[in-house]
Amino acid sequence: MHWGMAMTETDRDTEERLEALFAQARSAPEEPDAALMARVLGDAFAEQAAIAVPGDRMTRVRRGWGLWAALGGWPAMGGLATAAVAGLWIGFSPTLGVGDALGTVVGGRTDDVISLVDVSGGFGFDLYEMALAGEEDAG
Amino acid sequence: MATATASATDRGIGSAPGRLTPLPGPLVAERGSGYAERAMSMALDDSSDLPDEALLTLFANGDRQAARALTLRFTPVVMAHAYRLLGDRAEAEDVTQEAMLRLWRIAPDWRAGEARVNTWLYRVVANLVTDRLRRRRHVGPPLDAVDEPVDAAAGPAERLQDKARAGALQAALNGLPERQRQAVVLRHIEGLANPEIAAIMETGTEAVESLIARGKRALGAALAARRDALGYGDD
Repeated sequence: MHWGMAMTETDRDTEERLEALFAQARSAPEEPDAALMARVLGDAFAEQAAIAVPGDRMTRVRRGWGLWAALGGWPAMGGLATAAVAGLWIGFSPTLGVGDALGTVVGGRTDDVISLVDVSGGFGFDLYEMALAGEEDAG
Repeated sequence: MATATASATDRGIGSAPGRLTPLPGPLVAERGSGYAERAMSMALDDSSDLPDEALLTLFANGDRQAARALTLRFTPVVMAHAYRLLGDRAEAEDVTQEAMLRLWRIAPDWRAGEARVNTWLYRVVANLVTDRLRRRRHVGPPLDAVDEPVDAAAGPAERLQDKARAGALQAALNGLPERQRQAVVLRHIEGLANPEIAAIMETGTEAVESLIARGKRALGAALAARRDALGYGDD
């Protein structure tokens, strides 16, 4: 070590004895007894249980996902979105009997309102069907 | 320390409830020499030869086998180190339990690759020990010599001498300033390299080298004063 060149015979003896003592210490570490192991493991299980109790951060995340899943996850959200768009269209579409009055109420001609939603090529019918299907699912 | 290569996926961890066997009876029922070795070999035989961080992740996910594996892997390390720094078994046990509790609590937030679990634990132990020693200075008596009076009828002379020497080393360690003791123990008993010791002690490697050199010089002086009692008188 640092004693290097200046190391005397006595220093070397001391160094060797110290190293022998360190080696002995390494080979005979103070060991935990069974009671301590049980205490530590008991804490471990308690902390694991605490991680899982309500109010814990992870649980909150899981509960959030649970709500999402209970609502049907992404497929259900897709259905809800479709129903919402269809509802919008149904509400504003004079072809389903609401009439021109509503178009007048929301300001402007009916054509302007209908242009908010693409109703070309029978698409509107599809939306209507999907909206009905969504209502059946929800029921 | 166990070094492991198998990944959690390789081992299919978490998929087999049957693995959740109780802590083996002999480990709990017996105590005495060789306990840590038995516990360690037990751990290695089991699925707990996983990397530390994988075990921590499993632990945070509620895997009880991971809790056992981590307990078996680290409690002996922490206990041995805490005892070397404190020289008092009861206090070392308390520090060990507290340090492990902190490991359990950090597990869900453990950031992979940031620190070795060992290194982190050594640092926690150092902080806990510092608190204890500070409290001791305020309220308690100074450290006592830890070696029990040697009973001449207890065994062969060599064993007695080993015991006396071990006790003398611990007593000499106890007499060192705290930082010197920590550096010497981490280097020469835990066998760590100076950069890792510097990280644990939150200082530079040069400071670590200096602490170790001064600590060993003081240890040498303390032990030289007892050379006859330790069987060094003939040489």
